[in-house]
Amino acid sequence: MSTVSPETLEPAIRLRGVSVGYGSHVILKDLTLDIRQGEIIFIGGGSGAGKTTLLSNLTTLNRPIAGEIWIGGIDVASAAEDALQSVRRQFGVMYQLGALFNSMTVLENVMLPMEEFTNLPREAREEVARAKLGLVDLASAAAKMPSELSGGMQKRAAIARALALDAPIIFLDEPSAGLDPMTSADLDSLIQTLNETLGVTFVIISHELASIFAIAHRFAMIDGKRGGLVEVGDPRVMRDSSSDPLVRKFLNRQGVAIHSAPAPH
Amino acid sequence: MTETATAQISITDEAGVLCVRPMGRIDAAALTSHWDASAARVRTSATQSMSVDLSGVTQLDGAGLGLILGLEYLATARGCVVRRQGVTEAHARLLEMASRGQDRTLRAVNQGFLEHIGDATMSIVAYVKELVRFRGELMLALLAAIRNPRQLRWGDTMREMAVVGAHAVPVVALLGFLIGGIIAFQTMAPFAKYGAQLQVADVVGVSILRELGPLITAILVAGRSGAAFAATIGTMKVGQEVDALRTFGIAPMRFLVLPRFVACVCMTPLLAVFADLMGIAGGSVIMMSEGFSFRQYLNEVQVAVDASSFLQGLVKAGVFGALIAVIGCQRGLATAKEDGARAVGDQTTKAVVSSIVMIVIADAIMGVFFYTIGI
Ligand SMILES: Nc1ncnc2c1ncn2[C@@H]1O[C@H](COP(=O)(O)OP(=O)(O)OP(=O)(O)O)[C@@H](O)[C@H]1O
Ligand SMILES: [Mg+2]
Repeated sequence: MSTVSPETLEPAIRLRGVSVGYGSHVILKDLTLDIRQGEIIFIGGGSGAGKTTLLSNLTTLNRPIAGEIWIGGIDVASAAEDALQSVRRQFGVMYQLGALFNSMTVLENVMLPMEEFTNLPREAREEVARAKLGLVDLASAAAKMPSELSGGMQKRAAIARALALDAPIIFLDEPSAGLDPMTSADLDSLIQTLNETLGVTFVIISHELASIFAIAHRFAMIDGKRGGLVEVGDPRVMRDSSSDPLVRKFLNRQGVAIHSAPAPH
Repeated sequence: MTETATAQISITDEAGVLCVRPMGRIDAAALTSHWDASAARVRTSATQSMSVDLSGVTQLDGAGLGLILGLEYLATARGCVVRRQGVTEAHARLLEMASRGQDRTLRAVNQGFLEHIGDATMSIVAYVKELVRFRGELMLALLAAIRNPRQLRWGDTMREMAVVGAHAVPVVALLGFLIGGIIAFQTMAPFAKYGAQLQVADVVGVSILRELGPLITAILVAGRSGAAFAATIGTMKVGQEVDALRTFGIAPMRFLVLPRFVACVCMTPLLAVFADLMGIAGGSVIMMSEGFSFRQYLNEVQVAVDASSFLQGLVKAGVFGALIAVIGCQRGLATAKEDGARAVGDQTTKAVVSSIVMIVIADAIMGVFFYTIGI
């Protein structure tokens, strides 16, 4: 991108007074946040705080109860269904439970979005899918069925599928849950490389402090009890000098930090 | 989109070296327009070495990685030596990551899959054997529950009874009524030739009580509940809920199968009674339209059928209910976790089809049996 058009300065996702929940039951309210283009932002919070719920609203599965969510010039909170379809092309998602298609091989799972959304010749689709599996170090499992993979492998296959369309925004819900520290570090480096070389925006739900301190540009803390966004900012600064006790506690947990020795076997 | 339009892939033969030079933004759009030609060129070239020069690449995304690695693979596959040059550090890192563990012999469509289905499809003999084994195991669970009624999960059983029985009443009643009416209607004309209109009541009574009442009830229960058993238990199997039960030390036979079995064996005869009554009622409508009184019709039915016909029907219905529960649950538990959602559908279909086949076979056998012992 040689020329910087004004649009590239637009946030990738703009949240304005967003409330999310189920039915009339509000779980998070009045979220206002700009997710910048080309940033890696981590979202953290306790279990049940509403992270997955927020993600389902950002990825157009559910509509927010109130507020606006702007992605690519469209307010997905109020847009018509066919407008949403074009928004969906702009992101890749890995849901918390992986959600691979059980009746297809791993390679077919990664090829499927390309089949639906591109005109690539089959052979080319297959090559691209193989490369994506290579990125998550799963090329050797290409011909396996999802049920033949371990939990962590399923997770990586789902990440490969989220990357399938080379979308400019990637959402990952707990990508490193179930991964060993080495694979998790490998995934961090993949995220960082894709972010640096291609400017991919990453929105990552995770409590993995090692990942947060290694690659996050910003960290957003949500709290279920208060039902909203507590603080957004540089995770290191927040760790050392946040005024919010919950944020400090979250980011200083039992010194798990980056340098901790691997657990004994 | 202007950058993508400038993406180029030049492939030239320079002194026996095939030089591949992608330029610009190499992404899905570039791949779409250039893959076929580039791949054909690399495949058909006779050069012994290939050089991939990435110095002109401004951006390389995941699709671009696929393009580079794919072309390199096509070259190496025909014995060509491949060298890369002009690779930035970031691109090198991506290319290295993406090429990990690649093995093109691994096919997208698992070729073992059809054989897999072949293996999973049991022969009839094996299936009947499996059913017998399954019934044996179920009988043990049943005996244990009779000795110690707390073994049966009463709450689940009651819930299943409501679903299998009460919820099926309207449709069973409707079908019974119509079938009774249809039989009366269709036999009326031939019987009228002999002036035996009143004997139509005999036909309705015997055929409904002995055969059709239990049979249509069983077919409905197979379609409603047998299918539901297979689908519910199959989904639990796929979601590893059944494994979880086992690890808690809870036998799926007692926890999942027994309540459904008890519910089915109890409710199918009760539904059959409904079908019987409604069938008789359906016949009465036709008879009354022929000028007979309801009393006359009922008297005639009572002459034709005795308690044993009625009981025969109920015994049959009980056996049918047992078959439906056993087959539905067995199919559910036989769902292969590996085959996922599709397997649940397959097993559900099979459960309904095998139930209906088994019901009709059992009906024939019981018909002969009751005849020989002279009931
Ligand atoms: N489909 C649903 N209907 C109603 N409430 C739901 C639904 N899904 C989740 N919830 C509730 O919403 C709240 C937030 O759930 P959510 O899944 O967003 O949490 P989370 O932050 O992702 O937690 P975790 O870290 O455990 O994944 C919880 O209280 C949960 O009970
Ligand atoms: Mg969650």
